[in-house]
Amino acid sequence: MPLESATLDSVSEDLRAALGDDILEVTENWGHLIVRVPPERRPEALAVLKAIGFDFYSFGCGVDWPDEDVLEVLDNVFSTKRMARVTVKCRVPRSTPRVPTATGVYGGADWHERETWELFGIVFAGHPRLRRLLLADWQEGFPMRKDEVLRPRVEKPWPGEFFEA
Amino acid sequence: MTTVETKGYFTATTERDISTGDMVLNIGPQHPSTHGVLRVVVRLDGERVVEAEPVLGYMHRAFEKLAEQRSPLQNTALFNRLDWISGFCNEVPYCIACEKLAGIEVPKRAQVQRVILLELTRLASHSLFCGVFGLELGALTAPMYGYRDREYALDLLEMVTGQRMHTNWSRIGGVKDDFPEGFYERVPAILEYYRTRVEQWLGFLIDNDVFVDRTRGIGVLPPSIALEYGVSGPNLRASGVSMDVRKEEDYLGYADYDFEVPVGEYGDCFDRYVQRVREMWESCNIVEQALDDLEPGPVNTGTGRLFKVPPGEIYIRSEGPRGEMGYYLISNGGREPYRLKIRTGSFSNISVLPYLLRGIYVPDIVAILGSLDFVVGDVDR
Repeated sequence: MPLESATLDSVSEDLRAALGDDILEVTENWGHLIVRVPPERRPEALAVLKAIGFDFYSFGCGVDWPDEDVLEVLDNVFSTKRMARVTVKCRVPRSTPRVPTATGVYGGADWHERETWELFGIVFAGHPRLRRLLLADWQEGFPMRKDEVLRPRVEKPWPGEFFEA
Repeated sequence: MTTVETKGYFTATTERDISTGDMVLNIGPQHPSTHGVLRVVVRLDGERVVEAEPVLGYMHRAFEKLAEQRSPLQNTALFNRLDWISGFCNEVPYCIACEKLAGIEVPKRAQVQRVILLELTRLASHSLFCGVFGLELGALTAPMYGYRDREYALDLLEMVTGQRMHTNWSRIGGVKDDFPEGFYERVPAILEYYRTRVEQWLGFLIDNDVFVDRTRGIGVLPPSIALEYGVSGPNLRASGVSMDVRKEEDYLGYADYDFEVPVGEYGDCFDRYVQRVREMWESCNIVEQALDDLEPGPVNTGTGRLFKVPPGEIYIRSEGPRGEMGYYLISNGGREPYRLKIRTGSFSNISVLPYLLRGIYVPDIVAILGSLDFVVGDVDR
């Protein structure tokens, strides 16, 4: 059953009613809603979504945009009742990446936030145990940021480029 | 200073107080031939688990970083290694994501062939689970049957793709090649075999009192907790939530096929086992209908290796044997993805372990771990 845009309209109306001016932007993207909120309002936005039926926490992750000097935090939630999906985005500066945690809203955000923290260096303030999840203790830096290069590719460029000529 | 009475033989005094404090028990990391290298640290009070903490990362291979340097053709080969039990199910959603961004219409024949291979992979994966779950509970005969059953579906995959597990068969715009001669003749007999096996699996362990005692009422997962933690696939449906991507999303023409989504009742280990056995039956139904659905035509659009994914971002999910398998693809117009978030079923499924393991007895830990049917390659990525 494909998602209908009528459901998405009702979702964005509900969101605007609850969050008001906190919503910076709502766009529709391939049948999903993308909602941009200020970083400090992330838990509230997710709490509102949970209250209006978005019960499934799909995933959370980070994106690095070095050109704009921001790091982005994505939270993807799904509603099994309304069959709609919303991605909540908030942008933080790369120098002080800090957003409040959403573990109090969705229990499932716990591991996703720990992963984003160690891979992107985004600090989730108030997280109960912000510890390494996937990486070893000796690992330095934040490997998923764009300025961390994949070392073998620097040493030896991919030979597949040869075919492009 | 504590005096310890030793039944009158002698009296011992120790410097320290002898108390019955909690004991920390380290389970794993296990050998890769099992589910992969998962380690669980549990704090025990006697025989009961007070607290459990899974330790991940032993198989972290930085797939999301590697994918940013690789073209789609290289990425599908990489994603076979995510969940190696069902490799084909990992490559298809990534191809769909690229196709949607590029606006490529996949030929009908390719879609049907994808469905057939996906469901055969699911049969193989669930067969293995049915056997290995017996092993976790100490039934050493069951895995022999499980491994044997799986090979019939893997034989078909090998016949088509040349590989049993790491198929690397899906391409942008279809599949690599048409089915070989003699494929259609082999499938019905194998489906019939799986149907008899489903009946035998149901009788094999479910009629067994020991199996029922060790799984009934163990590891009950309420639907609200499951949804909040992102548990998906058979584990979620066993808890009574009818959520199946094949029914919800419009992909690969699954809407054309008539199949049911079985749901469980209590969400315990027993239900999670029965759930997968019942889904094998539905997979047989889908393959049968898909075989009739094969119309002559091309199986790919001939998209070459220099294919560039147009800019945009998209989330595509599919129903893998381990739950919702999704890719959040952000493309900036190059061959390689700008950012690719791999959302795997196993990662979210075992994030609920600290909840499930709290307050249970030690022998049940293995039953619960086994019933969640995770693959650590899928967890750590």
